[in-house]
Amino acid sequence: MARASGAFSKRVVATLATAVVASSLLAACGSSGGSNSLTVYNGQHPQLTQAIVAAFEKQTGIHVNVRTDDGIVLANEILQEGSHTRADVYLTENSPELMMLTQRGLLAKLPASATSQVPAKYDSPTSNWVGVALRVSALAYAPSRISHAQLPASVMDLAQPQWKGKVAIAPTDSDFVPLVGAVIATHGESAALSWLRGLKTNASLYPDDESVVAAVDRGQKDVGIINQYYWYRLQLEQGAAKTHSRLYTFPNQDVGSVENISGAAVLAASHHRSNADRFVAFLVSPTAQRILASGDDFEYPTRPGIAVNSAEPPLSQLNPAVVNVVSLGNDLPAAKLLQQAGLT
Amino acid sequence: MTVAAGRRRFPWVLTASSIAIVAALLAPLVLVVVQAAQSGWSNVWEVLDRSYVATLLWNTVRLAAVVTLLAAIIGTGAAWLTERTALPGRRLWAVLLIIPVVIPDFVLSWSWSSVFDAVHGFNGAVLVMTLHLYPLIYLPMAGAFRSADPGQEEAARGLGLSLWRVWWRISVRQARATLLGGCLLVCLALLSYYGAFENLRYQTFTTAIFGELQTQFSPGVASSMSLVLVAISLFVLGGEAVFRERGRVDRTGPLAQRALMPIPLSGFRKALALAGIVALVALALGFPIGIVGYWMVVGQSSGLPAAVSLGSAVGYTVAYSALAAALATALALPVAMLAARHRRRWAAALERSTFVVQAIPGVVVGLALVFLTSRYLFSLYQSPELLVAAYALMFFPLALVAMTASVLRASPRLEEIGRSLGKGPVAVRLRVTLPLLGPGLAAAFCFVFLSAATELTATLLLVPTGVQTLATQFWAYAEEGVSFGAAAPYAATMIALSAVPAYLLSRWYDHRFRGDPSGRSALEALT
Amino acid sequence: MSTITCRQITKSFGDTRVLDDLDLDVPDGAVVTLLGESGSGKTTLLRLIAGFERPDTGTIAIDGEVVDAPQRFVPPERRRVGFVAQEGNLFPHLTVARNIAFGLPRADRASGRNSGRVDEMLQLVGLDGLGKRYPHELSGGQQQRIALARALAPRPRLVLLDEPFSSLDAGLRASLRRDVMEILRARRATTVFVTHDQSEALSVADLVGLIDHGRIRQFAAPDALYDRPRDPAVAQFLGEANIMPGAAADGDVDTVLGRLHLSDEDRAQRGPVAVLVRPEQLRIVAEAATDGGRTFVGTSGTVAHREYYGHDSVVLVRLDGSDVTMRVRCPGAARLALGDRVALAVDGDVIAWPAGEAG
Repeated sequence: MARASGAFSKRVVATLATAVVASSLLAACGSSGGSNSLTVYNGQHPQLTQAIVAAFEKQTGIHVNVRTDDGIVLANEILQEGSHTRADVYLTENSPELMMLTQRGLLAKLPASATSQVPAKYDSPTSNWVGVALRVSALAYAPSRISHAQLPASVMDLAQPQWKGKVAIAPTDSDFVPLVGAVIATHGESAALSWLRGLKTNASLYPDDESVVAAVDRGQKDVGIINQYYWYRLQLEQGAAKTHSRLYTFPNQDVGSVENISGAAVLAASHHRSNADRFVAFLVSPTAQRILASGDDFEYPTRPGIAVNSAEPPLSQLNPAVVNVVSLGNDLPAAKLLQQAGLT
Repeated sequence: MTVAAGRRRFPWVLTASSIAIVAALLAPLVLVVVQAAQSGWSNVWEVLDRSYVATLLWNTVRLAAVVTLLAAIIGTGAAWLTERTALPGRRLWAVLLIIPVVIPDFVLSWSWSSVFDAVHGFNGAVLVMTLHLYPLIYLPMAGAFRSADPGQEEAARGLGLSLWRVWWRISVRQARATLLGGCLLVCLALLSYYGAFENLRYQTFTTAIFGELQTQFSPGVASSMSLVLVAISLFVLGGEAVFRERGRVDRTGPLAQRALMPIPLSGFRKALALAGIVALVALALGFPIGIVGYWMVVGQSSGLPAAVSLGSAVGYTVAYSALAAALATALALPVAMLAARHRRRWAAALERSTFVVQAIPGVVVGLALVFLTSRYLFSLYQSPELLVAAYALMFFPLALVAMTASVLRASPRLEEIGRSLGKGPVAVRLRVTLPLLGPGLAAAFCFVFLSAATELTATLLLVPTGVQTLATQFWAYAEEGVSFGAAAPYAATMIALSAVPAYLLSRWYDHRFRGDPSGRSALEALT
Repeated sequence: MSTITCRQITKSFGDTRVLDDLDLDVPDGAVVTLLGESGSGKTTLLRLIAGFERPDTGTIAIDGEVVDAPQRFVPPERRRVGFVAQEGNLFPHLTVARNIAFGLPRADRASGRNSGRVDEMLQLVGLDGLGKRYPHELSGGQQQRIALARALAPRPRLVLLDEPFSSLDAGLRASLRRDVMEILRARRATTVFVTHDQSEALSVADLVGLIDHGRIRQFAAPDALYDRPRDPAVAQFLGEANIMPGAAADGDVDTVLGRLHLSDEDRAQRGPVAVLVRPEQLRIVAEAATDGGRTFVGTSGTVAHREYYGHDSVVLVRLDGSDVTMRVRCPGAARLALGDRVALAVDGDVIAWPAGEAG
């Protein structure tokens, strides 16, 4: 009997070995490598990236693997992977992640062919990344609950007691962290912390900006802090007639309507440097910038002279606050403050 | 003729492989502790000593309390109606009532949140989770009612108790341990879900862990939170194990030989009961399927192109899930054999320790494996092998439960008889052992396959670059919050992948293992 | 057909020694029962003979061919030994016919020649026509018949039965036992039959081996075993026994039942002995009296307890002047009440062992 089960176990071991062999075959059905390929860690909206990637592949014949996740999640992955990383290009929605990776020395210098295509204020001061798209933080509001006249002059006002129960925010959305960074840069850390503590008291928390704009549109909250393009997408989805909320940009270059730069970089550890450089240059080329501007993404192109989607006003009309990318920093102080305020 | 056979009978190979397998299964627990320790215990304490953590704890506790209570009432009531009363069509209802729990939580919740804004937040989470999880109570309670001694109910009715009081004082009381065990399974599921609560906009530990990954540049923060999550889950699982033991004691003694006479229902009561069951099936099963169908018909809401085709997502999903199912089945076999054929206390303990895996939520498995491979085994980092191994690890208990009955049936006594009838070891294994193990191995494969094909949380963390599975592609759309039409085909495919085989499997089990608790419990574990 | 020879067999499981230097010789064509309590090692011995387990030391030979020795092991499939287990152990995934055909050569299975053999076997065990059924569709008794048919189909050299009837109820058990033994005897199959039921052991066997603590205590024909147990323990295991001390001299022995006659073999005994009086040797008589012939009338006493079995009854009599009680078997219902005064007579010779002998 002992020998019987022993012999049987041998068969089990053989089965295991077969399974291991089979699973190693998986390597083949995983991501496809090859020299004429490129891996992009994509923190931008997948449909937008997919459209640009399709155009790039058609033009160059380079195969692009896309790994899509939240921008900060991907930055975390790159930090963990270090010099092993398989990423060649990192594309994200906000500049602080790019600043962080620059400071850690994980990004390569970009060729002038990429950086020269957009105004210098949308580039990394050290040529480690290039701005691809712009978005502006804004306030969605429900006219059924609050009139335009009652809207605050500054995003800082939302921490005041009269806003208790009326505000929707998504503090765990990657887009909220840079806003906190901008507030720190503009008003200082202690003012930013008391602002966050006020929001903690006043606001209902939502998992992401999509949820915030949806809640305001339903009339559950008076106002919600979002990036402007979320509102336009909701309007596109529902149709203007069925959209009950409105979008409000803070006046006088208030930090509440700050301009955020979505950018792209090439990893220092990339094994496909020239392909990666070509892709990043392509991102700011007229072709890609037109895809960006004309589609249903509602972000603003960084390249001058590209017409935006007619559904939204041109950027100049919004007159957003501009916080220098260096003083905006790398998200770490903002993340710390969010924890301190008990919002994450 | 002469065979040099060793005279030792200790099952070294089985034991060694089982110990290795158990060690691998429990590795994520160790890894989470190591990762937290590496980030420094003072940092861990800083992360945990926040009002935010208290909020999450409160969210978790109140949701678990209310959902468990409602699920217990609904599950027990439905089980009693289908098993003990002359409800029209009760065999069909018995199967349909199980299905909601096998539809992925993140698909079910999406179907609700895509049409009703009101399901967001606590009340919505209660509604959707109750409709999703009541089968975890229904299944074991139906088993308990089926194996109950009808004499006691008859005696109680003879003593003048009303139908309602018989149900409460005899039927439910007797199955108390079973009921409590089911309640803890509900809690365990609630602790591990991520996608559902993201859709329902309700913050729990899993959504918070993902939130930390989205705002913090420190994986130690997420692993500190994971520690709390695992601690709570282990506590719940421990309680579940205690009640499972007691439930077994409750049902010792010979099963009732007499067929249970269904209790007749009068016209009004029959209509009421039928309306209740129909409403439950309609809400829990009909509604989500209907909504997915609706979005399929209403169609593409967003003009943006799909990141990958449905076909490629299906291809990857099937390939990964099939390999994971084969691996889990192969790994579970030696452990099951050891426990069944060498009935010693340590063998049983080894087998049971694998169930600790049930207390490790997918997010924790994912984080632990990311940590392990990014630090120490980079060649496996984000590899298909790792994802397959993760699935095999997470669903190992399912494979084990599914094959237990078959392994017991394929007794070494039968092999001996085969040998004494003049057949060699190989012939005996081919003609006796393999055919007897077959159904169990097939069931184990199916259960793991179906579960892996609809796994989201760990997949999000481990999926190889350039690959989208059904779950991750669905999630990419669902997270956008607007692309309902684009998400619908993926939702439909996953429902088809989970509900249809579950329906067929449970009908098959119903037919084949009537009254065999091991067959049913495998379905129980399929969440 | 065949003989079995076991020499100095020892087998331990962990710290428990199950077989202890055991010897056994089964003659050709004999039906041997191994009788013992559970844990006595009888099933282990059977499994060693079948080749399912290996002894720690010792040799086993079938028909003079060594099948197990320290340097030699013939696997079960080469031993041509039929095995019938307690639960039948039919293959649940095969039909009755395929169960029976399992051990037949592949060539026969392919050519269909086996169907003749299967039908023959089904007929033999009286279950013709059930070939297409599955085991779970059969009653317990039918399953055991098929298990026997399956074991006999490949024409084994010997048949081993491990408590084959113990899971059946009493009535079925007796009739099935009769049928099975008839089949085995008709084929002159060498048979080893393990049981813990002493009436079963005595009724079916040519030879009975009483096995206890891993050794054969006594190996003899059933009547010899019953009439001349080797020691008091064997006597007590086989049937009911009154054992009492006595003083032997000149062919007689003095006991609490008076002076009794020793059997011819025990006449030479002298001094303190242990005496066996079977309950059926005792007879209740109305009063103490001496008669001629071979009946000795002992002490009188009172009825302390009664057990009625229909065909007979057992009365416990507490002897006067002591707290010794005697079991007395009486034909039919003993018309006695508790507390009745009776006297006991002893029929026939008694046997005795020197006092203090192992037992």
